[in-house]
Amino acid sequence: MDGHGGYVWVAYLATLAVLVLNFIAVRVSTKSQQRALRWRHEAQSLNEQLTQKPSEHHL
Amino acid sequence: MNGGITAVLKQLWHKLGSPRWFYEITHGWVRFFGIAALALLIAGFVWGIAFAPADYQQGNSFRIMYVHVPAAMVAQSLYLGMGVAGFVGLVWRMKLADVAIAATLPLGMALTALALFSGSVWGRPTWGSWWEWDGRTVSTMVLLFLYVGIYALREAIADTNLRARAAALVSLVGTVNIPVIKYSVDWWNTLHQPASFSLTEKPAMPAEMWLPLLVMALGFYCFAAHNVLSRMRLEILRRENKTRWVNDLFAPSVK
Repeated sequence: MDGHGGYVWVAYLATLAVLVLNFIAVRVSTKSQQRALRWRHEAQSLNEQLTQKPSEHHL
Repeated sequence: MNGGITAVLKQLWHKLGSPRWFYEITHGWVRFFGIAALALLIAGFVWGIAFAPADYQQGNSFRIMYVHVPAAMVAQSLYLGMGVAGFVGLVWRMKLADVAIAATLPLGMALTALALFSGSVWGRPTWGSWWEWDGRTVSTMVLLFLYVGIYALREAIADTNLRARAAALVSLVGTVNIPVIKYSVDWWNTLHQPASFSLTEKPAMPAEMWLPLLVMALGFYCFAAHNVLSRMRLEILRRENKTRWVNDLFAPSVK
């Protein structure tokens, strides 16, 4: 690269870092949001089951 | 014919008011733009680094152009998109407009910083200095300040409606800076080279130099579309998390 290799690779590595970090940041946040929503749904279902149980015993 | 197109556009405009519709329709788009970005960026990188000929004046340092120019182009386009979203948000109070501004900010900020950084790294071997106070570099720095300013503004205001209006207004006003960046190389004496691409003129470079640049630019645009749409979908999930449609979306499937 006739002495310019360092400049070229630094620019390319910075680009790779920006693209990869932005990709990972969205992916991690999305997965965590989806997990939280799924967990909330499961907690709600469990809560509904627990509140229904006493009446079932009476039957 | 014209009436039909107007009706379709009107229907689309009304549908854009629904975050649910947007979330559902963009599922496939995100995947498409992600795959296209990966393919184009790999092809452009290999082409630009290994096959494009060295510049007769700048030698191999000109290869920085393949990341610097697309980063700057996309950073400006994203800001223009935010300006349009700001206008839509202020005039029609569309919820999705603020979602778009919030989703565009992180990538816009990162790409503007990358354009400044890669420009500085390119400037050292070609201009002999890391930084020049000329029109193009200063107006691009103003773009970075605008991105950071809008981000900080959004973080500082708790009221969601006020936050959306303030961000929309600053985004809209800040678009004045985009033509300044574009024409700075024509208006003032500068070390910066003129635009690499123009809609009206043939590129000054030979095809073997500008074709990889075109591929990289398309790759960056596809990456931006993928990233912004993904962030918009995430923001919609956060804002609509108490609605029934989001609740149904994450209900465990019956086995």
